[in-house]
Amino acid sequence: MVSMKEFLGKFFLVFSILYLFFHAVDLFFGLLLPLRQFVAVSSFMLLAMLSLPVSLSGLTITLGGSSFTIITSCTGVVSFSIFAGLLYATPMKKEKRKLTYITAFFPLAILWNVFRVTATLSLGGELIEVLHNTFWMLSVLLVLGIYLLILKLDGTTIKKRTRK
Amino acid sequence: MILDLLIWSLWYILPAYVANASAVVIHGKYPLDHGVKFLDGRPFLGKGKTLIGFFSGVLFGFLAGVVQSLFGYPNFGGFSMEGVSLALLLAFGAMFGDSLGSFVKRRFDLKRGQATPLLDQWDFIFGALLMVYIFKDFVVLPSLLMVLTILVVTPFIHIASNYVAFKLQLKGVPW
Repeated sequence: MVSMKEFLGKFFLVFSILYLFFHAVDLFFGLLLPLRQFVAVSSFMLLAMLSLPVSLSGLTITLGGSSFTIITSCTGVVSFSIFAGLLYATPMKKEKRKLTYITAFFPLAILWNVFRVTATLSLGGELIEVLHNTFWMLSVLLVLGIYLLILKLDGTTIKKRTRK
Repeated sequence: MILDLLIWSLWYILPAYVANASAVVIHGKYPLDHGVKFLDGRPFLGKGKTLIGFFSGVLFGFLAGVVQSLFGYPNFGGFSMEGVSLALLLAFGAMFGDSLGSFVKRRFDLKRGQATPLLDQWDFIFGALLMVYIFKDFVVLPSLLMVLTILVVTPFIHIASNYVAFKLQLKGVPW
């Protein structure tokens, strides 16, 4: 068992370190550029395959009248930071597998974001901002879903503390 | 075209591969972290990372790049000092990434030699690419397709080469 204070402490420690690390290395060194390029090019190719009038200029995808620039947060690093924080803070029966789950989630987060950008642009139209936010909430649900699935596979149960 | 991409990608990243492999073959005794413990009370890097291993990795990775430069590195077509700088960055980055991987493993209380799929195969590649992107103004960057190829191919090469090293009794574990 871990107390809520300890859980939140560990979660925010790992989440903050990863979140700041990814944003800092991108801001100062442009290190996430290949990742942003990958998301931009993959989303552009998927939209083109859907026969939509799409164009790509650098990291900006234009469809109809809407332009969408791929920034750091569009690459999956935020979802990854949340997932890593959650799993690190949770005591599991098979502790040794944690790191493998976290590493395996990284490519999944990137692919999900390719889908997120593609879906937002292809379905967006006038509602692009609404869809953008909705898909972000879905990303959080995806993270939570995978987290809970891993806990279930591991046999870990989350006990609700009852007041005496 | 795919074969071309594969060859160019492997040619580009070869100093990092050599650095990582050298560290497996050449062992030292003195730990890189001087036996220092981290805030969590666990070893900073662990006994698996030694000073000799780290610097021999950098040296042999660099030398591989120098040899490559004689043929033309990162692109064929004659010797270039840029290739030598690139090799040094890739070799140092590979060893840095390998150490960073160990640091993360120790934080999760994983013991020396314990398998961590994907992290074991990608840590040195991420380190190598990280160095290249930090000093991107001075060296040739790999294309996006080359980065993807390297990331996809490396786990397979890493597993195969480690299995061979295990069979040759150079490693205690086949990963």
